Amino acid sequence: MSPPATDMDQQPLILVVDDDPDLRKLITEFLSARGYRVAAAENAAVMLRMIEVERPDLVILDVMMPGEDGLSVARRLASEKGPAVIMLSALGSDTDRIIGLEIGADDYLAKPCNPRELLARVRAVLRRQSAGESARDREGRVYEFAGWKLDVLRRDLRDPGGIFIELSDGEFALLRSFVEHPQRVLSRDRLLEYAHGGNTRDVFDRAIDSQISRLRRKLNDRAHEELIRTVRNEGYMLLPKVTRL
Amino acid sequence: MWRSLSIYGRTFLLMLAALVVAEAVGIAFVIYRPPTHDAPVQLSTVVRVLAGRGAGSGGGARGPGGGHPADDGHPPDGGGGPPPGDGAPPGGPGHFPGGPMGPPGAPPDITLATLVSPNQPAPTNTKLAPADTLRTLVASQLGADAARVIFYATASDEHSASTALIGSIMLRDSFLAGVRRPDGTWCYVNRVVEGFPNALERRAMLLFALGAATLMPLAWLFARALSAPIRRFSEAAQRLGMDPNAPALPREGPKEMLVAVDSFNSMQARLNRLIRERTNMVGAIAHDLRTPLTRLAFRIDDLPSALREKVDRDIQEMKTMISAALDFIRDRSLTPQLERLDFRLLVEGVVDNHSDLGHDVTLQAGVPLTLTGNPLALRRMVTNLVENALKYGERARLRLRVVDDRCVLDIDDDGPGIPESLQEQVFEPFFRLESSRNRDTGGIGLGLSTVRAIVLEHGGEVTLGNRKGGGLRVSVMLPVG
Repeated sequence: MSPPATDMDQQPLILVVDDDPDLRKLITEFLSARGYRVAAAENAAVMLRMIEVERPDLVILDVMMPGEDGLSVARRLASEKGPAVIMLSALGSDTDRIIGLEIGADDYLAKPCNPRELLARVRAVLRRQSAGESARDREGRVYEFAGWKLDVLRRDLRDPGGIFIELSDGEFALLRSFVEHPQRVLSRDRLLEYAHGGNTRDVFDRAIDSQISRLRRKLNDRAHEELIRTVRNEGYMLLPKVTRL
Repeated sequence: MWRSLSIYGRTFLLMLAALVVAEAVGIAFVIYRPPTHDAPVQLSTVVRVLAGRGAGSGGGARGPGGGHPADDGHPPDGGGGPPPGDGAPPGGPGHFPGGPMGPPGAPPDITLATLVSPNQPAPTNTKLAPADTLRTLVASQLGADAARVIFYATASDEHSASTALIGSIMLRDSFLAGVRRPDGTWCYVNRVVEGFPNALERRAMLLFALGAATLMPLAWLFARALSAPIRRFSEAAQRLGMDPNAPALPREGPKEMLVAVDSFNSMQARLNRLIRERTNMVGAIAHDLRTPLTRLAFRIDDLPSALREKVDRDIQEMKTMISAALDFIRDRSLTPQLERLDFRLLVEGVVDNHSDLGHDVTLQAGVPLTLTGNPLALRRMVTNLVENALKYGERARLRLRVVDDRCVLDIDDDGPGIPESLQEQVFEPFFRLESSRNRDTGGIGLGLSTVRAIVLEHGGEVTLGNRKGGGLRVSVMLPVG
């Protein structure tokens, strides 16, 4: 579970920013117990000073704080190529999540969050960071293929005529896997992995075939050409070239 | 200036206008009136005329003796036979039926000619008939042979002549009286009383009609202008409370209306502020619960896992409730982002999401349906309805169709339905059916309220009904386009 605690200095430093002292302490204790180095700040001003000094790898940022609020702080950090940011917000709607991710947060969690969920997100963000991929690379997460546009943050697919195309969650996850791996044959297992990770695999294992056929129908019917091709005994492939906007 | 005039001012001006028109009619009536001529005629006047002694000053019947030109053309007309010099008049010679033989030329008066035409022995244009009593009376007054006298009158005049003293006989109706003079010419008196409407009445009616025709459009415009602000007012009152973002009423119309509009606007503002405050309060409570819940989630981390999972479930349930409350509030306060979207695809997406998770959800989709709306909100609306159907009715059957330019989405379930008396209440925020409370199905009674808020925002409506075979049907109607 926890990273090897041989050399504390090599462990990533996480900065917890929340105006609630108890919660700050609880998160700090929880993450320290899992082997991370953790610092805490009670508002944006303290956080910025600590970022200067401590150079944390990751900031867990409360959105609603007295003084400068989390959103504007996150925007600032994103533009300054600061540490990765996980927003922890008392606002939990889709719109809030989209706004948070759009201004450059690496992930967005609604309160109350399960501690394990937070830990999983922390790990994922740190892993992506060490792989050299951060939120800043994801700026303008809009993919274009054959005139279609997919905004992965807003979950917004537009046909070449600009019409909003509704996708179910499963279809969206699949299409996202396709545009991130275009012009490559993706096997059913590979698609399952890309689209749904590990957790809910059982459910989606049953549904993935109908999801693929629905997605193909939606795209191919509207495009009047084949965008997703079935490769016999191998899997599926997104045919057109994909560009990142 | 007209726009801001008070109702009183407007009414006053209208009355003034009506008065002016009515006066104009009266004035025109006086100027153009034809002479009065329908007064009763004394029999003695007729006798005087026939005797060649001229008309009495008071009598309406003026007829010259034969050969004398009439002093004016107004009835009753007196006329002579063929004028001196003779000549066959147009229309041929007239013979008075029952009168003595002779070749009287037709009098120049067309009415007489009609009356006494040989082809029409009994006058037909009026109800004149030979009046023997009057004839005898006239003959005796003239001292003439009755055979030389004719008299046609209406039955009523004849009748009154038979019962009255001679001096008081008044001829009220049309008559034709004539005496043949020794030279063979006729002297006659013809009086024609027109029935309703006579020339005078026709003219008066025409003027009144003209007056009315002039006034009518004015009155219509006036009434419309007067009622328009009141109509707008009532429409705004209808909207009140449904749409907290409804714009204030424009300050238009008469002064009294402006006062009402101002009161209404301030009432609407007060009401909206109240709604907003309540909304904010619910939002703040929901929001403030999140931090202690998060603390709780972290505090239980050390608990034995069986207990921790139970507490965790409770936390998740509370989280769902808070989210529902915040979603509901947000739906009403956020300015909607409108998009043109394919509603069929949207419904399909929601259905697919649930069937992917193994739920019994089917959709009978019709044609593609483009409408303008907020995709996030519409998706939540359909999701809430599908989740309700699954929660209370085990399965959801959706049907999408177009009826009269509106798209109709029916969601049927196999649950117990909702008693008709509660079908309005279930849309109220925080209202929950007893059955759902007992069954611990979660939620805080905002699902249908959210649905209705979203549907209303999109200009549609949502209705509930129990199906005959059991189960509930929710119907959502949305305008297409």
